[in-house]
Amino acid sequence: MERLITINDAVTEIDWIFDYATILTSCIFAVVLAMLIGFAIKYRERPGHKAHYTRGDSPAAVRMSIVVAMLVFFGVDISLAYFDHHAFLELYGNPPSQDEATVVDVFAKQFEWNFAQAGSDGEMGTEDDIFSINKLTVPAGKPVLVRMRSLDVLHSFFIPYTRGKQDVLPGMTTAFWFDPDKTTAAARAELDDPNFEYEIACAELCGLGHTTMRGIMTVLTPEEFAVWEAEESANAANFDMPEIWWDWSLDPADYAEEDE
Amino acid sequence: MSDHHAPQSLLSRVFSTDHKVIARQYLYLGLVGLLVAGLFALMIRWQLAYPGDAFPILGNLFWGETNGVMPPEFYNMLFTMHGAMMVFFAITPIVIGAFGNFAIPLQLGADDMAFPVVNMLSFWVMFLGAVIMTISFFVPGGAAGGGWTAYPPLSGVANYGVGHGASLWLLGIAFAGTSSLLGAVNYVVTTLNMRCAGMTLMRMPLAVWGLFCTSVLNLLWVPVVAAALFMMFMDRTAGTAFFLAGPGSLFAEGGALAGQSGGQPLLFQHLFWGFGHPEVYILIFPVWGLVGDLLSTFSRKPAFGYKATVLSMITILFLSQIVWGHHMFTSGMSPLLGTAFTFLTITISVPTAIFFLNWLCTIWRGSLRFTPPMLFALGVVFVFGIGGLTGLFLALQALDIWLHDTYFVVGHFHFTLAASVFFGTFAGVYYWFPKMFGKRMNQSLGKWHFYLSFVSLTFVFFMMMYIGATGAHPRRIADPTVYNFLGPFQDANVLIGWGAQFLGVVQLIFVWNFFTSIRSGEPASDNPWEASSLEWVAPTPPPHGNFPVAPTVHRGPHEYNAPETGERGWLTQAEPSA
Repeated sequence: MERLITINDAVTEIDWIFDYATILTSCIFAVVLAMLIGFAIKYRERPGHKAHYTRGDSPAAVRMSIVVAMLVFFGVDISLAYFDHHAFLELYGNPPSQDEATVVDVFAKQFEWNFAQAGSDGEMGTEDDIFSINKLTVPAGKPVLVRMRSLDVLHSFFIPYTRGKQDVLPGMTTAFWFDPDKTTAAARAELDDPNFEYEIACAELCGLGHTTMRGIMTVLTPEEFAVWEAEESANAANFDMPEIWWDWSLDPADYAEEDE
Repeated sequence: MSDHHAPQSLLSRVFSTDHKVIARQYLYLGLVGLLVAGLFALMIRWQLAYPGDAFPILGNLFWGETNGVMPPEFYNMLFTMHGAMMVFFAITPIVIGAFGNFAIPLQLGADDMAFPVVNMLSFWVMFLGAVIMTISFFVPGGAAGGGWTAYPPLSGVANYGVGHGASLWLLGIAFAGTSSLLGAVNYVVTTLNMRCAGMTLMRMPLAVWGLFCTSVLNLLWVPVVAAALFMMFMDRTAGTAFFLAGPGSLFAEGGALAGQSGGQPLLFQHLFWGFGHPEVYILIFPVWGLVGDLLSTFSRKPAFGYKATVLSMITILFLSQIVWGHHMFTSGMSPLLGTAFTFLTITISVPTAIFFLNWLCTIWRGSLRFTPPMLFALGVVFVFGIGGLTGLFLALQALDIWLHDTYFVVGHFHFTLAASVFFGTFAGVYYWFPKMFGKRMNQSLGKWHFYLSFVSLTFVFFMMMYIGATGAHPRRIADPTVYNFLGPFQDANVLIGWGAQFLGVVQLIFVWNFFTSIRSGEPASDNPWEASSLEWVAPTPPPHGNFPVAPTVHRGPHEYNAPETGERGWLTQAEPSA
């Protein structure tokens, strides 16, 4: 079965690390398994065969243990952590500023994703803001910055094609960002599946309707998006947002400073 | 300390203070818990294999209004109670309660636990907890449905759809925790103070070392989770807001939770996993210790690198307490903390590698006897190998942000915890059964039980990791067909479903073997395995007070084929050398 497609090339690094870890651990497991099966066959109890008495606390045994410990620590642990940290900094170490990104505000509640976007005037909290439930539309070619807050329980914003997810909590703001390089149309062409959609899942148990808390993300070309945005802004329903929705206590840019 | 009068009346037999009776009580409770929680697992897998279809039998009985389809709230209860009951009312009573109670005094040459009455209490407190958990199914709204991790606010207030069963759930877990604390005090004091003459710490069987480390972690961390659960209980019942934060209509003026705000949901996760990660080792240490002993006994060789094994276990005991954040990479915790937790977590692989090295070197150049306990012990090495290695994936922050909350995690911790402890359980039961009940179990049935369980269990959990890593299959969803991207993996869900049912049916071999052996198994000799630890010196089954004459220990726990053992190739710890 093929792996899910990615929304851009950068996140394939996660797939690469997964494969690297799989190969590394498979090699280790193959050695363990070979010893397990080999010894089980070779040293099974049989007439005339006696176990070799050793407590395994000789200097040679201690040296062997230290060598194995070093191999595991430097060969496995450090190499995995190095590549992983590299990927982490690449994907999550440098959040886009609000000026350069498509900003999307997410208000999660049982059991729907509420999305708010600035609309044509580029400002949140004005009359032409675009609201939608479970349907997110973003342009390709520039980063998407998602600012999230929950109105009730924990949720988790999960777009499998970004290889990432972020929990959504009441009482604090969390952020998530990604580069949607591949439009929905391009993904459909790649998969040869005219019905393909980018799906958004809730990954944290949120109650009875958790299973059905599903959203669709449509990635348009910048030109298509401009048309879509103008249309939606012009028809924006005057949605009465509770004031508290806009009280973003934590700017996602704070993450950048913390991570330096 | 303990009285040596043989128990007389029915009452004194039920409320016995004899550690061997309490061990059997724990074993029965744990096996019933395993059966019930296992049936929940089979129902979960059936639902995921055939979502939207009428559920066999139960559908007609309970869910007429949905044409027999399982409602999602029931599915949530199923996986919540499956996890909670497996951890607190199946694994804990078996590997800690039953094995600890049976093995510690006998293997240390003691006449009983240090505090026999506390010991009895610890069982009955857990029994009460199990009763409360059972009752929780029958209150309005049904049992808890917020996951075994019980994250607030979902589990923290009734208004979000998790009914009063969750309050009872919190009580039930609190009782189980109290029981663990009482047991842990007993185990630690018994291990430190009740060892017979000559039984130094470094001559204790590894099983006792495992149970000792488990008890230390229990003493340190059960109070933490107990406090967290109590705080949540207060949130649910007394209007506090330790873990509740606005905004939302419920918290607005006139809302159901007006004034109940200002808390921090993340705090619970820190407290829960502060306990939750050590809990993994709390449950696995007794099995690791037992596996070390069994590999040695059935290879007729001393446990390789005994001291290094003990040292590794103590190292993990320390490390396990400072890695909880790897459960929270996506929780909203600072990413900087995540990097530190990644590093601390992967260092656990070093002492774990020493464990594996010593296990493999123990069977190297041995003379292996493939009895059922030995097979299950080798099985633990295999499944924990997979579980431990896949743990590395989830320790890595960036990779975990992808894999978190998918079936890769489910498969991983089932290899680590479920499969390892499951095999450890049967290794221990097949091993100690002759001493516990004075009868032999059928060995061929035991081997069939192992081989069939091994194949089906490995298949089921491996497939879970596969659909998690390849298809991003989220956990805790009642119907995978909701998502298009899971379409290609529904066949895998069907296969897992049937694999799980097969695994369930295979366990009937054990049930049959267990009961027929108790009733009419062939009588066991005092030392059927030719093992050297002290429980095999005691009469079979051991009387109240265990040893007619207090034993004196002359050597380590596994001096098989040492020069002093001569032609026979083994001496018990209590026999002086010729």
